[in-house]
Amino acid sequence: MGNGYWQKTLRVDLSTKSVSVEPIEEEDLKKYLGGAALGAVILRKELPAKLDAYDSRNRVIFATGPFQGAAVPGGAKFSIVGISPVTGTYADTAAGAAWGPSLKDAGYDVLVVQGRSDKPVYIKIVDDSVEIKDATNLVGKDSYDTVDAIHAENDDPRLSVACIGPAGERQVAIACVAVDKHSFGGRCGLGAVMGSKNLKAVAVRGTKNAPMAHPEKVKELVKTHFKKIYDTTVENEFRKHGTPILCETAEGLGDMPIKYWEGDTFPEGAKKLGAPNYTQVLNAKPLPCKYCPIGCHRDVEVTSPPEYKISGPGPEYETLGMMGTNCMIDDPKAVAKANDIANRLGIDTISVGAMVGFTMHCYEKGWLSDEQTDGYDLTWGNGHTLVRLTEEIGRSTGLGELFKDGTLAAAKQIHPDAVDAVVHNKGLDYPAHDPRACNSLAPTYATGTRGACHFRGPCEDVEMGGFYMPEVGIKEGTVRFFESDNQSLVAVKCQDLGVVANSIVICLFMIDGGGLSLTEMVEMFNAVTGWDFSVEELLRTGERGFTVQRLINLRDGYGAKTDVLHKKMFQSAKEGFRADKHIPFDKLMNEYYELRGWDEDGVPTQKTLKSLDV
Amino acid sequence: MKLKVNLMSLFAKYSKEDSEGFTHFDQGRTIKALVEHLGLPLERVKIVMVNGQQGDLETQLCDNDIVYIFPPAIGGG
Repeated sequence: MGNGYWQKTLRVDLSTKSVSVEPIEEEDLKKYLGGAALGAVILRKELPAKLDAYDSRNRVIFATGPFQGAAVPGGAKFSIVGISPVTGTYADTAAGAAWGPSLKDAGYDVLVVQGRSDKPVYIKIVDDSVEIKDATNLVGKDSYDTVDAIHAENDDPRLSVACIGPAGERQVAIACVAVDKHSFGGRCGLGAVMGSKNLKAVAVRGTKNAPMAHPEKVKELVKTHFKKIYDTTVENEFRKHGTPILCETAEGLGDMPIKYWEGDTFPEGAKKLGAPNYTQVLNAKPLPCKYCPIGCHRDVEVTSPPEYKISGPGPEYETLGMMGTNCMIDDPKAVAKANDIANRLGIDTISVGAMVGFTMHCYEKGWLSDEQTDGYDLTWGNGHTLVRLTEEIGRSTGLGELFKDGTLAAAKQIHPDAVDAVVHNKGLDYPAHDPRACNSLAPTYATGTRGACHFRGPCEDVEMGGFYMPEVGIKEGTVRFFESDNQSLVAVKCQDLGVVANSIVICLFMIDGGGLSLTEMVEMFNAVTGWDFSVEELLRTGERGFTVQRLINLRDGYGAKTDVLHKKMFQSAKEGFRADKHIPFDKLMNEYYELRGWDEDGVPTQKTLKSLDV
Repeated sequence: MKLKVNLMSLFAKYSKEDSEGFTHFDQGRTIKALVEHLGLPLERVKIVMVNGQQGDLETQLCDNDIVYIFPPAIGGG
């Protein structure tokens, strides 16, 4: 009887050109599930503290979980793990399309890449055949052309391709991993780590079926839940409009970033960028990953004006927030064009939006010299500036060259006062949610193991009524805006859920928007693995994985002193939903530490570690 | 009573406001009654603000109140 895993790690050393297959103990899978948590265990075990992200010893770990072989709704995702050049510590990022299931079908749960090739290469995996192939002719190709070129070279369009664009090759710190011209492991710069290893891509296809414990039951549950999620998201229009559905709600509640976190409201901007206007103006349609009943990604087409002409994946809510309202830009076509450029060059659209907004902020403050601005119009709201600067950041040319090593590094070159103005945690730019609106984000951002992240703990969607976890006491009314009761509890449980989702691996939108309950998710997990987990036990594995990630953060120099919010988060709004409100940060953090079982330095106590068996 | 009702995002299509932007409503005094009057799907009403304060379905309304009704947040990723 199988358990959804092959219990196999494929390891490729690009320095020695060696390939090996190693067993994974079932006990470790029961403790860590796979994906991001198992990746963290590998990083902690195999790497020393404070390793430079571009050191050849760094790993790029592509990790699946039990769901990738089971055709579970939302199960096309996989995690990529390594030390980030943005934060200098643990990072994971997730992508969809079809890559995760393809690795699983090839007969592996995890791929670990280490070392550095002396020339550009890509890895091709087809079942038991693993080749390190010359990628000289792929150098300089964007992330879409790379996929086409690998398909053509191998005469195999069924290869799923995770690759980097020119940004990753140049080690632009915010370089992402692009998958199948469709989905992007965006945050934390693991594409730059691939670039540092001279690794252009990993192409994979498989013909095997991972054995499951109860395949008939899995089939039945998958059919039931696929239909339920599909029906739910047709009804709530998530399928029709994708993540842009959030814009007006987020802006109205003060959650959307405005004017690089200095603004309070921008309703007309959110209305133009969000659904239904987005769907109409960009001719947007669902672009589903494999096994997805929702299709939250957008396939868009813009035919005019000519400078914004595109056809392909459109911007998500996060991108609309960071490239749009954050820069006071309200034209969805401009954001769609910049998003397309970022995708092709292979850079994180959240951080690009942060960088453009930050540049406009610096210009307003008079911190950028005329020589540095290079003829740009850096006033707020200029869509053409967004498009041009996105290209320059991705290619590391012109004004964009300032940002090669991230926003903090750019700030140091711009002006002494600019450094404190960078809104980040651990160097990672805040995403498009404001902790001043959803206070549970305050401890979530402060303690985020990969830096500030809303989706390694989607607590903001609990606060805004998007989903609940009644199995662990989080129901409608458990938290209310600006009231501190239970905010830290929601933060903790959502972070634990985030680790579970990125470890088993399932797209969180099945739960958050799709209506899949945790009980139903666990039922599918048990049917695949043959294990007997409760919801609480599964979340406990998430807590364990989070703790391992935290231990890596701690040894890399982070701790209580960096469990902070940016100073702007303590400026209350003058108008709008969060006018005159303040985050009770110290109270939330004290409660958070207590719930986590951490001491005053932010270190898990021995009792905590023992209870988690870490 | 006369209210200023802002139906956010995809709820906008349920608006019954007049040419001056006011909603006239005499079928009850609570948010729940207003929601039913407008034909909004009750189970999808999760966030309500009345005069800048968070309310709920039982919140009592008065003439000239400013009401915001939001659909639940979806797509925060």
